Amino acid sequence: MRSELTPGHLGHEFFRPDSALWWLYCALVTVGGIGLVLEVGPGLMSTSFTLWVIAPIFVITLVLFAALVLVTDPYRSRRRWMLFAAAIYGATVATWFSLKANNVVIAVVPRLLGNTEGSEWSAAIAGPTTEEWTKGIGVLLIMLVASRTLTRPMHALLVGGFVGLGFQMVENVLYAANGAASNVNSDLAGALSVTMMRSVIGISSHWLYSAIVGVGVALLLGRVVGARWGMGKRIGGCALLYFLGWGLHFLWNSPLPQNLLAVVIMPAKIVLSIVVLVLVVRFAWRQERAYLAGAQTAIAEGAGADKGIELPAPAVQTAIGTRKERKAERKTVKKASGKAGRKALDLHWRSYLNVLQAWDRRGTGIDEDRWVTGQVPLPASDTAEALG
Amino acid sequence: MKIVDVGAAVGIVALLGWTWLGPTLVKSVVSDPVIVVGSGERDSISAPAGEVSFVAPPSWNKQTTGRLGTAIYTSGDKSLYVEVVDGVTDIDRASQRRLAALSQSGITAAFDGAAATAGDGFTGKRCVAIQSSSKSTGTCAIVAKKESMVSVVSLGQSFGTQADLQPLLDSLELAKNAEDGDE
Repeated sequence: MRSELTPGHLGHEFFRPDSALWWLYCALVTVGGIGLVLEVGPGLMSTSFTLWVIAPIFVITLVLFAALVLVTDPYRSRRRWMLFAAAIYGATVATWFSLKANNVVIAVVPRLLGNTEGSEWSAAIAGPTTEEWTKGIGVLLIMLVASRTLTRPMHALLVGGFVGLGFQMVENVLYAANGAASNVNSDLAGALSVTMMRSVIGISSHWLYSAIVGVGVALLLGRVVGARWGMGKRIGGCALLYFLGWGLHFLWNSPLPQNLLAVVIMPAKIVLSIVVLVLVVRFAWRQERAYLAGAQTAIAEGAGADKGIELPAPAVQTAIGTRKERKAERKTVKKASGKAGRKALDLHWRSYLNVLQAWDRRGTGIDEDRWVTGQVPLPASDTAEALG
Repeated sequence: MKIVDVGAAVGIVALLGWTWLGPTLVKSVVSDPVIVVGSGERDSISAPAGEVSFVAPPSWNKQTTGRLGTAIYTSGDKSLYVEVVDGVTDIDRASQRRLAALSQSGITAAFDGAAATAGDGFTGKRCVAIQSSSKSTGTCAIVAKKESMVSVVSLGQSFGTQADLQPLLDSLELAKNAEDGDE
């Protein structure tokens, strides 16, 4: 029974030595990491000075894009360990397998399309074909390892985003090394131009494609809120999102015309990618709000052995509202209580969302301490007064 | 401790293995097209600063490379690599960097002190080259004109059988639009 669990019974959603999937994850990361070092190590060593010089750009890009992925998570669905595991998978396994497979695809495409067209289109075909596949399998593996806690499309979107981000960061370093070595004038000029370009256009890069594919993986696994999806709908939904991710990646890698049109086409590709991501995020948010509303009701009414708990003030409950409702509430509170009141509201929202998110993990042995101590940290019902 | 999820783990391994196996299967059934270079036939390599054209050795096979800027020709155990890069600002420095780039691609080369002359005003240096993976040796040249630089490497497994670089070098031509753009 849930309420009898004590902290001594708490489990970990990632460290699961009883699961072959966990061992597989560890083995793949080890093999992928070593394979990657052997494959690209000499190239990195020969340009290491330049790479260290531009390393701050890599770090800034990583922080910015990690923050960007988390911006898509206003309902605090994130599971930090799993996002870290996702990024490590993307940086090692997905990168190494894709490198190996890309070499084969790049050799095949010119055979099919002819040397000139094949050379121009090989990146457009190889990139999405091998990379979205290996990254998507990473999302699948992590969703299966943490099947008790990654239960909704929003979780998969975040895992996908971080698998893609890990991949993107390693690729940035490899491209910089390649740019340094192949530039005819200097290592720094080659590495810097490639890195600056990739840092700017990275807004519509691997993290975005994998976030979209990730939601597809959640659908395939039936990790949806509400009525169960039939197998056909699950496969169809997954296929649709996979091909959206693949298609955006293909479009991005497609050759640009060697004229002024390129100046228009490149931003258009970025805008299209962001529009598709927004649509997918909105679906994930709708699902998340449906879950949160259900959790709120369950907490208020009591479920199983737990007694009902008084909910916080309506202002705090708006945490699970739509973007528009949340924005309006923050505006109202700011008008009444100034910036301090708005900050207080944000803190209450955060605390409330953490509790609602933890509700889904009851019975899993993970985060049970929120419930076994009898001190459910819901914001007080008189929060509205505190907020003015 | 009983290990669970074994079937799912095997499935993931199979899916991941398919990443490499799928393209490899396709590669095994799609043969490399044989493109035979005709006598006097001009080939060209495009680079952002302009197109460089040349006459490749007649009756040699042109290989698919999958890389813009590079052409490879083979005849038996002999091979000929032509690569074009652009954006050159300092020819001496760029020549040294091309040698380093060749080395990274598996061809170790060193300038032999001789000057290289080529068609259309391209000038540069001669070098010697070794490709240990194919146990081949040969000669090479790195020549430049304006912002464009061409590396040509001729390799063969038997000493003295490599293709002569000079006819190809003499046939080099930088596209007119590239020259106009620079002026």
